[in-house]
Formats: sequence, structure tokens, C-alpha cells
Amino acid sequence: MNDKLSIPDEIIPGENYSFRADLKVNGWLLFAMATGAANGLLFHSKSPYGVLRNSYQDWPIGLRAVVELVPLLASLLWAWSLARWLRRMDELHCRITLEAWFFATISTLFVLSIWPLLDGAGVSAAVLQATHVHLEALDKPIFPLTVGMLYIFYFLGHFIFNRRFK
Amino acid sequence: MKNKLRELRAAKEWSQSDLAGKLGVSRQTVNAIETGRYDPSLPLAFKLARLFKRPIEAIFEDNEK
Repeated sequence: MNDKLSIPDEIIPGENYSFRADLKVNGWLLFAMATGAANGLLFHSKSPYGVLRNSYQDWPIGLRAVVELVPLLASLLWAWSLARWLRRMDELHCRITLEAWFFATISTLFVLSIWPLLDGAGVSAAVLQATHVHLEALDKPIFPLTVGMLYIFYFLGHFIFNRRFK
Repeated sequence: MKNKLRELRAAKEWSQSDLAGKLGVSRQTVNAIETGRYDPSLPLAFKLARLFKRPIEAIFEDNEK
């Protein structure tokens, strides 16, 4: 049995970062993001990327459901590996990490909820006009985008809550 | 919460890392307890009490007293 304590810094880019630890904690998340992106690209995108888009509609419904659920199942396995990582932390690090995840979850939910309202007020059109960047896709719950936002807020939350105990 | 952990540790000539190792926690946790930024859980407080062979109230001081 491995008695080594987990530390939050081992998955945060910096001097204590460990690729091995990061892969152990976030490997299933990486798999979920990759399969989610591949599903979107191969089965739902228009030409030239969506090479299976037309034939996909003829696949049996059970198989299509399995294909769509693979990222979700991988996400559940990610949650399990995250819980195992948390259990190997000492109580202070566990508290800091839980506070950071709570902050990240609430912040991500807030941004995802507020975005359609801002978009309704014409923010996407204004950004497109000023920068020629399309933001229409942001009003749909895109898995990699949500995870990316979650991690940015997690790093920010960890920085804030960790400072209190330094 | 105030505590006498730093004095007790110094009396034993242990570093924060030594104490962290004996308690099974990180050095940051020992430091945060010593500086009063973090109050340990009851199991950890009992571990400290056993390690220093003193009652919990001889190590930690209730601020509301």
C-alpha cells in the first residue's frame, strides 16, 4: 500500500508538479475530453471533419447511446480517481482542495448561467464586431470548455485558499 | 486557537518536518497549526496529545476563556 500523502500542488503547474500524479488523478478526465471531442468532430460536425455524420444516423440506437455515454462514464471514473486522491491528503490539504473545488464549481455554474443572458443582451455580436471572434458556441454546454473553466477557477481558488494557511 | 505546539516541539528538538512525519501530516499543516491559522481536527489533536503525553487542554488554549 502506498502511504505517501497526496498534495494539491502535484497537479498544479509549478515546482512540485508531477506528471505521473496528474495522469493518475486526471487521466480519465483526459479520456473523457478526448472521446467527447472525437464524438463531436466525427459524428456531429459538418464536412470535412464529420466523416461519419451521415452513416451515424443509421447505427442502432443502443450503439449510438453507448458512443454518447462514453465521456460521461469516463467522467464518473474521473470523479472516483479524484475522490481517491483526496482521501490520501492530510486534513489541511483536503480542506484547501475541497474549498477550491467548491469555488470552481460555483464559479463555473455562475458563468454558464450568466452567459446566455449576456449573449441575449448582444455580447457575442459586440465581441464579433470588435474582434472578429465567434463566441456563439459558448451558449451551448460544451464539455471541454466547461472542464477548462472548472480548472481555471480551481487553480484560482487553490491560490486564494492556500494563501490563508501559508 | 492559541497553542503551545512550537514550544513543545522545540523542547523535543524536532523540526516541523519531523513532527509532520510522526503525525502523518504535511509540514504545511504543522506550520499552520503552530501559527494559529488552522485548528486541527479532534483525531489530530488527540494524536498530538498522545505524542507529547499531555492533555489536549495543556496544548491548546480556548480563546473564549
